Amino acid sequence: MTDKLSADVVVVGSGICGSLVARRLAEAGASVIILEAGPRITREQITAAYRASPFKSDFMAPYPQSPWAPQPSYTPKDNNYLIQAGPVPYTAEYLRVVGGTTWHWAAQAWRLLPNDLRIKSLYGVGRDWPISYDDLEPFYYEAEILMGVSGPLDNGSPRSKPFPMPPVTPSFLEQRVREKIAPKYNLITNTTARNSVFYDGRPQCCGNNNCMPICPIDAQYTGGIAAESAEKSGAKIYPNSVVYKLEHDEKGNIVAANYYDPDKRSYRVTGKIFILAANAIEIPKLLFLSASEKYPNGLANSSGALGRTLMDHPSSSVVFEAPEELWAGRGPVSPSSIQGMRDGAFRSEHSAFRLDLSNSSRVAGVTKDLISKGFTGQKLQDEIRRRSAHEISMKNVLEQLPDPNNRVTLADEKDALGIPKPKLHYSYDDYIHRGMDATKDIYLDIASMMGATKVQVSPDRVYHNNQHITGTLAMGSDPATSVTDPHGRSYDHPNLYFVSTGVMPTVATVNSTLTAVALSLRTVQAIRAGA
Amino acid sequence: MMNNSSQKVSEPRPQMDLQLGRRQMLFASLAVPFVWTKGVHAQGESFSHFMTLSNRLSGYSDLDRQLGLRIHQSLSKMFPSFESDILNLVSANESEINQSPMAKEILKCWYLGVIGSGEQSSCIAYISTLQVRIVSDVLRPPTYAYGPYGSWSTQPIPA
Repeated sequence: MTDKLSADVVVVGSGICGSLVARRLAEAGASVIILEAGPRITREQITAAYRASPFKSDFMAPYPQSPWAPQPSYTPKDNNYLIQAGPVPYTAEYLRVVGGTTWHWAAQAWRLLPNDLRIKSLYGVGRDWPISYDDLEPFYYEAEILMGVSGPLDNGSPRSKPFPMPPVTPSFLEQRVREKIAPKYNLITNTTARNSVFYDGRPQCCGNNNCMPICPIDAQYTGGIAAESAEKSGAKIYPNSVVYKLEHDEKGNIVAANYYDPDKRSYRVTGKIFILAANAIEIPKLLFLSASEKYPNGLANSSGALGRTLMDHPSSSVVFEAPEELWAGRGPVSPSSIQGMRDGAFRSEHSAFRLDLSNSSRVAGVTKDLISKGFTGQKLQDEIRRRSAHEISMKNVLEQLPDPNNRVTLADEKDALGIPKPKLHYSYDDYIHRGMDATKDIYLDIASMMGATKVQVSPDRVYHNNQHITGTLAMGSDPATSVTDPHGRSYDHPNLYFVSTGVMPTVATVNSTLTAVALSLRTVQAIRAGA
Repeated sequence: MMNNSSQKVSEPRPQMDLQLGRRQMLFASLAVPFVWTKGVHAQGESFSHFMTLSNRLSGYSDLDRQLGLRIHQSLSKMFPSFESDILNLVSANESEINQSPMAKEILKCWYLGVIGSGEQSSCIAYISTLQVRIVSDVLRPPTYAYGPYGSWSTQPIPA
């Protein structure tokens, strides 16, 4: 490698946050290097891999595994990249590729509710954010313009300017469910980074019903598009570059990032500003790995909060059969949701939640189930059609409070490059269980209003996570209890910033990407103001 | 960009990418392109039994012969008892068929395009599977366009 490995700004991680921050700083005239652990991929490659995959229900399966940058995988068996310390497993999924994990998302691009940032003050639980909704609002809008977001106005989050495009046209299924459960429940079209019009050189959605694991036409925004825009703006991406240690000087400033290539040759990149833009598991891992004599407990960890308050959105689910044919599988996979339980006085007692209506095709799952039960011939055909037409699935997206015992540490086990793997400590508390119980009542109520039969609620106390890996770098106004300041800067290292869902002090009830991008753009402003 | 109007779809070639394990690649490599071989001629009777059984199991009498050849060849290699299982199933009653692991394996191939299970799994077909055919009047297989923007808003009218 003959390039000079130095830049004004060194970004670790090329996901949606890192890439958009790199883009903005490059546009402002800074030289920017992005170090990405994984390889480049293309939309065509992943679409073809999905079609050829025997594990189509596994969103990780079409994405390549790199021995030098392993990513969690559970099908056909756990690859043991994430070491589970319990008491319950946290089977997080994320991608280590150029563009990061928003290659496979449903493009849910929600803003928080203003009260989400004040749950300690209002409800006596969790913690308050050090900033207000109003502080974030302009950056939410900037993120929405960059990503091409649409949605309804009655989604609970105030806005100063209109969405850049109208909401995505609802499917027949969505319309019928909305009619049946109104006015008691208000099913609204989701706020998504999915094109309802031609936007930013990308086409309208044409209903490929495969938002996860890959939109085959780029009708939804992804980190891959963000990475491409960063490069067009002048940022330089180094793929297959696994950062394993940050160096600091006597004052605590970060002076270099060291990375391995796939053959474990080591390189050193120097810079003036360092921005960690990996996820809420990989960033604490790197900071623990970078422990030094001066910082024996890891960098950015004088508070002892690093890696703690790991959060996601636990989910339960319900499946039932509607009396009429609704045919899930026409249009985007996650089109609409019920908002009414996202905020209220009940938050002092149990988790708030959103209820999502699924529009994923039921056909493959139903067919697999019927074959396993011994259906054959005409009975098999008839039942596949009947269930695929009538079955409806819903799930909740439920707030998990920040618990310092839920955390990321380093495992003794090492990956192929000899880097310790992440170790996860995870649990669910009664606040969550009570929220799940409240959800169950609503599932049954909605099923009743739909005139449904064969109602199947997921087993009690068994939850799925949503890959919204949050916390572990929590921002706060008190250096004694927070990893980052209100602008995403490390309290311990003046030139070290974090742009990641990791900086969110609480997880609220909506997918974390848009908030993380808004926070990242706010961090850009702080960096530029300090430059 | 992909054409978002009605597309003529063709069976994708299974990818020889990093995500496919060695055994998956082995079976994927059997999938396409199919080459008629002497071995297949020799297995003509077995194949005939297999297709007769497949018609009964699937409920379709006009199954894709090329896909049938791929499934037959792949199952023969994966399961040592395949030939005898087929012979037994051809004359089995409905109850015996419904409980037969091999019958389920054959149906998984035709309907889902997946042969084997767990680490032995391999994709042998996607858009030519019966799960696609049976709902083709209403749905498109995931990754293929349903139609122009918003076309999903109208009531589906099954054929």
